[in-house]
Amino acid sequence: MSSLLLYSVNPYLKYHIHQKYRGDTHFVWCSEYFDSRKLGGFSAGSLIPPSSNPGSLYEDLKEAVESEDEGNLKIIQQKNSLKLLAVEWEEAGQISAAAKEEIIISVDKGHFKQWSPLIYVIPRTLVDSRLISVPRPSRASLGMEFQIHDLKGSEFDVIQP
Amino acid sequence: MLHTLKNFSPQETAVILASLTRQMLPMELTEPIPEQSKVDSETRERVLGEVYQKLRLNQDDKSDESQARVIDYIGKEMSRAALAGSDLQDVENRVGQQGNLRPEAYKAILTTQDEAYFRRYGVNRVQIKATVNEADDFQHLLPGLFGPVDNSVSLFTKSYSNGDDPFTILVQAERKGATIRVEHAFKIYDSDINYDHVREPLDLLLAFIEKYGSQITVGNETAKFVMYKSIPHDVRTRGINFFQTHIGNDSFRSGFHVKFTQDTVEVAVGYVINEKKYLADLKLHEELRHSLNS
Repeated sequence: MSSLLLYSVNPYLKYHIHQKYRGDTHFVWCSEYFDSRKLGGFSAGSLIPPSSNPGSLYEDLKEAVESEDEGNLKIIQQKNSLKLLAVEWEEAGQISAAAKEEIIISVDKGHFKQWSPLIYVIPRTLVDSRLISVPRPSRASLGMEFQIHDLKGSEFDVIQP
Repeated sequence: MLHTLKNFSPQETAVILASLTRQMLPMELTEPIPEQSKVDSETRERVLGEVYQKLRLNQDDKSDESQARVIDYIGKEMSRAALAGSDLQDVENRVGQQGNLRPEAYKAILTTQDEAYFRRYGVNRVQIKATVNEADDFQHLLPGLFGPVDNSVSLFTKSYSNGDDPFTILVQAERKGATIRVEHAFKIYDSDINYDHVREPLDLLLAFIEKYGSQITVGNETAKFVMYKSIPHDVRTRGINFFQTHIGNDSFRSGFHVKFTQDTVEVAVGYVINEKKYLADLKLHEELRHSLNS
């Protein structure tokens, strides 16, 4: 049976950028389980690896933010994922040059707290028809992972524990 | 500057570096690639080779530290190229207004008059500047989160151990672009307020107001503290002040941050501090300090 909820973990700045510059439409990777490490060994969810497990992503980001370590690989990856998207979105005419500038400066000169992890809780019934199963070659393990390309801000709750 | 990209425009350079960054990130951090942004793999590999060479790293080294340095380097070059034609001060002002700059990136402004006033509370210029630029914690009260008012209030806190009598400096400031104008600075001794529910700067302000604040009436609401309240214009035109204090003859410090529009009075935050009560407690701490030192 499919789970009722889907979970995704993203830093605050990513949420803010999609809210402000992408019309409150969010691209998310999500999972049926918040923490695959706490599932039984025979559960399909237990096959989801740490790199795609919302619980692990949450802990990694939280630890990185608390340490305020500028050299942390997770933070550097998050920073540059947003910058590359800003450049590509502008190149594709999806955002303005001013929006690209603001995103890049927010990333480069922003405060560390903006990398704090947020948990998106998504009721499955609202997005079931738009849920994309990530094909095996593109996901990190046998565990199921999903993408939603056009998740509206009104379709999920944001939790910052 | 990467030599392999010297014949490309800044815009093209940014797109190539974005493509290279995408190649180096986990799938989960990327989104589908827009058609226009595709870059040939040969160019990416040439650039990547030069980055490894510049950083004196071996391309077979896949350690976290090596990856972090390479991605960070490419990211800085990407920023440089993407912002090549930009007015950086203008961009920082826009981002600063949104509350997205780190505290040290804001320029703090404190008038001589305000500085003199805050000395009454035992707070000096050095402490105020340190509280803003080296804050232990800060909070930008963002209109998007708290309501439709476009006044931008920021709170900064910095704690001092002060022997056995620790205190925190709380600064309330107005954010305008990449500038912070200090409006209030309070010295708050830990032993004077209830810290049970203090998790962030706004909680500290509320605990401080709970102890030293006085009842105020704003529009039709009477409380010790109001935040993001919009009062219709007709309240003012009927000759009623937009707020009233209930503090008697005691002196007070008004913590109102308001904006007058044609139709409304927008109150971002509103409170008054009973200075008599607050200064009396500050004096007790000073006397305690003197008695311990003598």
